[in-house]
Amino acid sequence: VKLFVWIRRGWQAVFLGLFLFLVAVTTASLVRGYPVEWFLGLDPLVAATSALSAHTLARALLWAVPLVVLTLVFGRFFCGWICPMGVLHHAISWAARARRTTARVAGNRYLRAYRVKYWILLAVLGMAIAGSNQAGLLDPIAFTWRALATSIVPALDGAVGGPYQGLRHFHWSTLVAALFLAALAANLFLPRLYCRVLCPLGALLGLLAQRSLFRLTGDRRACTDCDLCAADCQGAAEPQARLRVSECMLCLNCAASCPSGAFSYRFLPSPDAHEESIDLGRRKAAGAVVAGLAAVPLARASDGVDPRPDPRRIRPPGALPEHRFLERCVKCGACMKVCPTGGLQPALSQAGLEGLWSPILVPRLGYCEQSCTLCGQVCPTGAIRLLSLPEKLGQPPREEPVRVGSAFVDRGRCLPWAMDTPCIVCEEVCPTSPKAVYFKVETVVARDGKERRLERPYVDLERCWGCGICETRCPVFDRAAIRVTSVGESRSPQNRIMLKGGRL
Amino acid sequence: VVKQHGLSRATLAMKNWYGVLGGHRARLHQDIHRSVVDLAAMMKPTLTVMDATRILLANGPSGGNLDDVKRLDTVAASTDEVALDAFGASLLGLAPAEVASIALGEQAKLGRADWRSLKVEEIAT
Repeated sequence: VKLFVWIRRGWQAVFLGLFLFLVAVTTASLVRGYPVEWFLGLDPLVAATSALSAHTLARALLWAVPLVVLTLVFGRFFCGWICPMGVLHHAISWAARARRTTARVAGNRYLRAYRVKYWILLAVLGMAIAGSNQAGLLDPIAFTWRALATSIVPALDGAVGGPYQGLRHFHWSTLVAALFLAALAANLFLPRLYCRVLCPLGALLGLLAQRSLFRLTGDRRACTDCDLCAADCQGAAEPQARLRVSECMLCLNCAASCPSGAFSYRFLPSPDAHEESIDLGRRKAAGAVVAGLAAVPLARASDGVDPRPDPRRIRPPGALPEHRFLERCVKCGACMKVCPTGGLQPALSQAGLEGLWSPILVPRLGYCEQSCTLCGQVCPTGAIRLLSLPEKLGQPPREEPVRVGSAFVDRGRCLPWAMDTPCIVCEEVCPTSPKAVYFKVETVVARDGKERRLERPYVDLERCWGCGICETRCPVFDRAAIRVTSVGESRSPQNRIMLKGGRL
Repeated sequence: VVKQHGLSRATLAMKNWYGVLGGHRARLHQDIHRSVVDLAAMMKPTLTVMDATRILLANGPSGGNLDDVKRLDTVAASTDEVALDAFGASLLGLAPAEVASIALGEQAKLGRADWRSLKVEEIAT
């Protein structure tokens, strides 16, 4: 049995390593064709919420199907063997474990608070039914992805001078890292607190594992009631009594520590040996679903979705229309990490309450590179569609590029407009052909009474697709004198100015 | 690489020095000709090579599409950056006087705008 524990540790190391590798290569220069979306694709919670809200499954999410089948057969092994955040929780709670065995046994008693994760799951599923995918807030894969991509990796990078060109900034991402590190620190108080109390993915797998065909089974006749099996039980599944199947993460520590070798992994054991039921309480469970269903219209009452967009809500190219986007995006941050310019940022308020940490383009920080479609390539959920380059650029026979917004000159701040000073940077960097930013040569009388010829910039909205490089590069330092807002985005039939152009 | 440019008319050898700057170099566009010449005065290159294999006639220096590109299969080299810029400008159909940095460069004694007066060797390969 000890051998199997070592095999489990090996798998944990392999999957954590694979996860970190896939996060690390999610940069423009390294990503190639690596399946960086694989872990989220494997995630049945993301698949379930996506299926409930969008009524479709992105291709990457089909990996969840074999995992569901395996969980029905073998139990909740994902948490103990594969989950990268689980490995971190496991390692930290091991390092912080109490010296005395009795204290460890006490820390691994089942608590009624461990039912909370099932209610969280039901609320998340309720929100999905109402059309808002909020799985990513607490889902361990999305949470770990987001924390690494937007805060921890850039911070490491800034500290040691890593592969990025200069330090990346992601707006308010320290908050994400703080929540993530707090979740890890919770292991100092109670082993695997996050997994046991909060994790909605663990709850979903627990429900699936409830009647799993194979289970760890303790032989009561061989048991001497020494309780050693509970000393390192990851799930607080109480192997010393009737093992709670839904809480068991199959870490095998119970079997390895049993002095009389009473544990075995059995096919269809007698049901008396296990506690199958999870006492959710019918009214509490229904209340959780209703709370989830109600949360969505409440959130939309505050911000709306499509009719009143925030001008700063500039979605990446290929993003689906906002309703359909919110049905899918789990805020993992992969698109932000892969964006070569660092312009894709986690939204705080710009996309409403529901869109917290979803990607928006902040052109002052970075623009949308014309020849890049990486955000759609790495998106696990299909919230950002993978565009082909001719599609993005609107090459024939297509009539329109994919627009993400439109640029506007701020004549009160622009050098040639407000200061009679030459500057052409926005026109210079504009990547379309013919250029969307163009000049009219105008003769003006300056303050000193002298005539001056100036090239003053204008934007041709039929050419501009909102890449934002003009705003990124504008030499007016803090607030640029040419700025992009979301109006004109291809994905919305409402968010328009021009009568012509930008058809769907 | 010889390219059309909205403000300076042409981006040629001397303007290449912008490439050694990082940071907020976009601010220099407020006085681009002076900046180009000042940068060129900073260092005298042993030899400047100008790639005119393909030149960009419009929508430069970035952007543009293949219709704006003309294929010349020409590479020019000179010890005189100003002369080389004047030659490059002629490829874009511009007289040296139309590119202000060329005259300023000559004033700064960085070289001669009249490239034809130099010893020019043409080598066909």
